[in-house]
Amino acid sequence: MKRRVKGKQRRRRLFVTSLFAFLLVLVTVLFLAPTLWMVSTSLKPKAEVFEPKVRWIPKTPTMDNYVRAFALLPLVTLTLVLTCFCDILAAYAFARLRFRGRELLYALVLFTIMVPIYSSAVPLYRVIRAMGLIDTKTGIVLPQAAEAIGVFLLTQFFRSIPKELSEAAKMDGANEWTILWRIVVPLAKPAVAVLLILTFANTWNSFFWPLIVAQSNASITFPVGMGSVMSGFHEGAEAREYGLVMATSVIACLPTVVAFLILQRRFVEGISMSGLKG
Amino acid sequence: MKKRINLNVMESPLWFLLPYFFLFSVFKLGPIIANFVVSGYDLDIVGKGSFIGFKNYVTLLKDRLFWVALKNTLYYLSLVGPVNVVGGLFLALLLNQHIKGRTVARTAVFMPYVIMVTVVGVLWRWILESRYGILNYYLGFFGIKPIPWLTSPSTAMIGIFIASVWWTIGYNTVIFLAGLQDVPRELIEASQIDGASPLRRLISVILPCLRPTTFFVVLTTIIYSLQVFGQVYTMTGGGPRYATLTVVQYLYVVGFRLFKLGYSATISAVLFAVILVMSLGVLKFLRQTVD
Repeated sequence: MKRRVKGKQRRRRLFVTSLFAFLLVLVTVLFLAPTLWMVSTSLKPKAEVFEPKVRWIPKTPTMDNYVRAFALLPLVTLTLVLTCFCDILAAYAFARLRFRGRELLYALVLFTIMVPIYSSAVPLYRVIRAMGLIDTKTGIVLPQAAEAIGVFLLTQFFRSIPKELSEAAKMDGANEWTILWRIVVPLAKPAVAVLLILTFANTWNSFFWPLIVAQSNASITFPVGMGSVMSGFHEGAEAREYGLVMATSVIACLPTVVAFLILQRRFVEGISMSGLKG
Repeated sequence: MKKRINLNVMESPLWFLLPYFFLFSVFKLGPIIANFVVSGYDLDIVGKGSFIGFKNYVTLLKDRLFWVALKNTLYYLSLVGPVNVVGGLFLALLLNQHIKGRTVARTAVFMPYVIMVTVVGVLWRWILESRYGILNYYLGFFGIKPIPWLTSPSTAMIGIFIASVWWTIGYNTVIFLAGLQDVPRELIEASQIDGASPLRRLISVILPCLRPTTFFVVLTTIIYSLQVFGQVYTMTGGGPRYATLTVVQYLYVVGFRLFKLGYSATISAVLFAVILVMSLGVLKFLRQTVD
């Protein structure tokens, strides 16, 4: 009797496990397929792209699209360094230093997270124009470095680091700067990893703001370049070079995907510890 | 003996705050405040214009296209919101099972999120293409006739919805996953000993623990859905026949194509108000149901 119950239980568990495994495979395939289709299309010569038969592995693979797309690749890493530096300093002040008006200032920073870039686009455009930064990379990058999400993330994380550590260091004669860079930042690696991924993805991927600032090709960033390749699509059939567009897309994705794959082990951990999830 | 704080000038909080707050006030807070001022002006491309008070707001009330855009945006939210929250939770629960290959699955689900929106738009435009797109190709196997996903007003928003879910649901999944790590092990074990079924455990143990996480996910989903732009811009440009014109797409066209800067700022201000009201409403509603 008891054995039969056990057998039933085991069978049920096996069923549940295989159901989960099946779902897992299904989800993976569904989510990966579009990306793989992009890679596949990017490797096809023009004639093959519009073949009515769906062919996942190109008949005559070509790197042609990549050679042409590479010319569009820009450099947007300045923000990353700038953002991380400014955010770390500010977060340290909010988490560890005592000064008047700290709570008020922090509330102000948090408030702006809720305000979309669109709700300040016109004045921002005028500020950038007044500084003569229209059509420059600096003009694209600076407003993005002002985003508050990184400060929030790091402050939450810094708060969770035991105060005793920095007090011990202070006894040994360390000042706040040393404590920040030698003790707090090394302990905050998971949070910094999350910040790096998010900032990198946000900067590399942001679209609305570069679209406004970049008016000639000289300062165009990748997403805007993509956008303008696409806007050619509105005009007619001759511009429909999906192979080239997909190659550009693959290249465009590479940095963030690589960054994500490198940092992903720390990712869930970092979000969990920083209290980003609220 | 009183300990002296900030003996060293270099250790003053000021130096820590200065770099960020310079950027913050010039590029973030300043423009946010200035936007309300600008919305009272009749600004054109050169930035010359006169103060007209609330006239822009009055115009907005009578602007048919604005209402179309607002309606479309809310429609988009009603599609994406539930799917992204419930689906995100479902995926997180699935990816939290101890099954081989879950790391691959986790990566697959989250990866789309790090892809830039233009690429998402372009890629899905290609997948949803009515004649050559693979989605219609595979639907053909089930005897479904080609659907003009992005070229028909009745399906265009659905097309944008599909692309958006693929792109963003991984973010919610990761947040829920992180929340699941914090569910106390003892509670799960206790419920196992009590012989609770997995469904019962989900409802009585796991979901209550995920409450703060759910707050965050619902709020960010609403805030970001109301700002939908990149997908629309690359996939349909707001068409066909305004079927996918969203508020941000509209304020972009008004402000930076037609260069009616003042009016664009007005639309931004109203969008901000809508976001604020909805967020506070949701926050209040969730708080009430919890208590």
